[in-house]
Amino acid sequence: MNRKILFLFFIVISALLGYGAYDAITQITGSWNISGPGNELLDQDQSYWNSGALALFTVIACFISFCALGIYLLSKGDNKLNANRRDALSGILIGLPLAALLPRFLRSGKKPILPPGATNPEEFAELCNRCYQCVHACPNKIIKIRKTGKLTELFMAQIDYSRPPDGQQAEFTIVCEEGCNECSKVCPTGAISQLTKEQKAKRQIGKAVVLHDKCIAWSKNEYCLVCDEYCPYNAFDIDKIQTGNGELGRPVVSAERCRGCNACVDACVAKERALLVIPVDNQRQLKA
Amino acid sequence: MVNSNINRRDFIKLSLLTAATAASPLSLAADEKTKVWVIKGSDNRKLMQEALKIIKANGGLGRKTDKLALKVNAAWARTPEQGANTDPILVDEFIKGAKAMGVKSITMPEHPCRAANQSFPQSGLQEVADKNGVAMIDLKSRYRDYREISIPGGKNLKNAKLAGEYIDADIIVNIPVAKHHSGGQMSAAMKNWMGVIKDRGFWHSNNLHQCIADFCTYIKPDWTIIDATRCMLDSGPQGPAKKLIHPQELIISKNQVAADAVASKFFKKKPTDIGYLKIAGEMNLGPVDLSEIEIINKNV
Repeated sequence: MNRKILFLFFIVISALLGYGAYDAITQITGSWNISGPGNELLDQDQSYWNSGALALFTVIACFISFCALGIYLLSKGDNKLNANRRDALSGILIGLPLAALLPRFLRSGKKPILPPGATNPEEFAELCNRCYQCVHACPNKIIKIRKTGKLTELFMAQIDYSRPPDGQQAEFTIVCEEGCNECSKVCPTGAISQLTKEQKAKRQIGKAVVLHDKCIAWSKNEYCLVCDEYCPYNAFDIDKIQTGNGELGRPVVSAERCRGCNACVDACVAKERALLVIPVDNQRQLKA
Repeated sequence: MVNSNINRRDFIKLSLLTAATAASPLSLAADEKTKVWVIKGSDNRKLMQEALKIIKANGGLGRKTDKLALKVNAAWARTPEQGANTDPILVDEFIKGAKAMGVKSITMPEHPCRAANQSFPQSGLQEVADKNGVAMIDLKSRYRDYREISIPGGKNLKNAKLAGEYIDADIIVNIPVAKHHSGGQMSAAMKNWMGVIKDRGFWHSNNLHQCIADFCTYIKPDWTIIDATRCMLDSGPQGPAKKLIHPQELIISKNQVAADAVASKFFKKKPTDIGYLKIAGEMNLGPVDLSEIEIINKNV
């Protein structure tokens, strides 16, 4: 009984480690070949190999090797599982810290923001054939390869508004530009349906939220509204209050006008950015 | 012997004072009002041609005319009709005129607010630059070429990273567009300099108006030509505006503060209602009171 549980424990750990390992490895190889800044597409086949085959290989390799390690640790040289209390304790001592590290590799909770022209993650995951033409077509380099999340969504294209590490300035605006429909022009499968520039300008791919505790206007009562200045769609309603220094405006996002283009986040001057774009369940054409 | 009642101390004081007065250019300009020309006319090309005539008649572009750094407003991905950027026809005509006046090389460095591949073509200014063989420089993708400058006259803004072209230039000309601005109340000449520096965020979070005035203690363009052929009266700086007026005017001056003071009329404001103009007046950067400005009206 005890042995069976321990064995199961090792199997689970091996599987999780395998998952974590391919995530880590594809992140490294991805930065070499696929989404690295300044690197052109090396070879279409190679990118397939990197993402698909390598992932599968690492999963299987990790699984096999860690299972074997488990059996080795629990057996006493006679090739029979033979665990006593000490072995069980050592298994737990090794296993638990490893298990605690795993959530770092398993950031699966976040829903993806999809390129304008897609509909919802389920449909997009099925239609996207992982050719990454949109990744390379995007002038602002915000379409990247999804390396986390549900298995069906792995390695599909998604919009990633994350910023370069502190102290580095982005070379492009981290914005899905109003007048750009490059990704929808190149998609061969229709996962990103073709949109005209006019249609694209009305497509809602996400929605910005104001984080009141970080916003200068909301938390410190200081005049700012740079987000409103940079918003191409006039999607901010201004909440006006009277302060000692006169009238002060605080930003409120209108869900009916915000497209989720990230222009406000890109422009925000608060120490920690006071806005965040969250995905919408289904993309749609806005009227305003 | 003449009994002069001047002693040595007085003599030294007096001679120092005289020397200081003679050396200061302010003393000469003290009774002469700052000139601002306002040209009105329906044809944008003729407007700029007239502006160039005025520049020629008032000292031209200066003695050394090798390198001209031209600041336009090409910050937003908006069409020329929408009035968020400088009108390309005016810039086209200015570049031609400047070349005729002997300028050898012209650059147009701009740090756009939208991606340059969106805002430069949509504003029509990329086409104008290409047609005239002028380098339109995207300061967003060339951000490593900024150079640190110190601003001794600045109160909040003591130093900044400025695009190298403006440091090396022999002549600096500013052709902004006059428009509404949600943060600065009005955007015209002085506000336009936010497009040549690297870190705009610092200005926004350290009293925008003071920083705009501080930077103008450092940068003094040889000529300022404000494009008021059309003005957005709301939704600035990007638009599209609900209310767009067409004054069809150009405002020209050697002093950017005076030019901005005159441009404030489109927004039905007194110059001192605009924060940075008020501060500029207090810092003696130029006249903000319209009574101290000599406005010369012309029609073409």
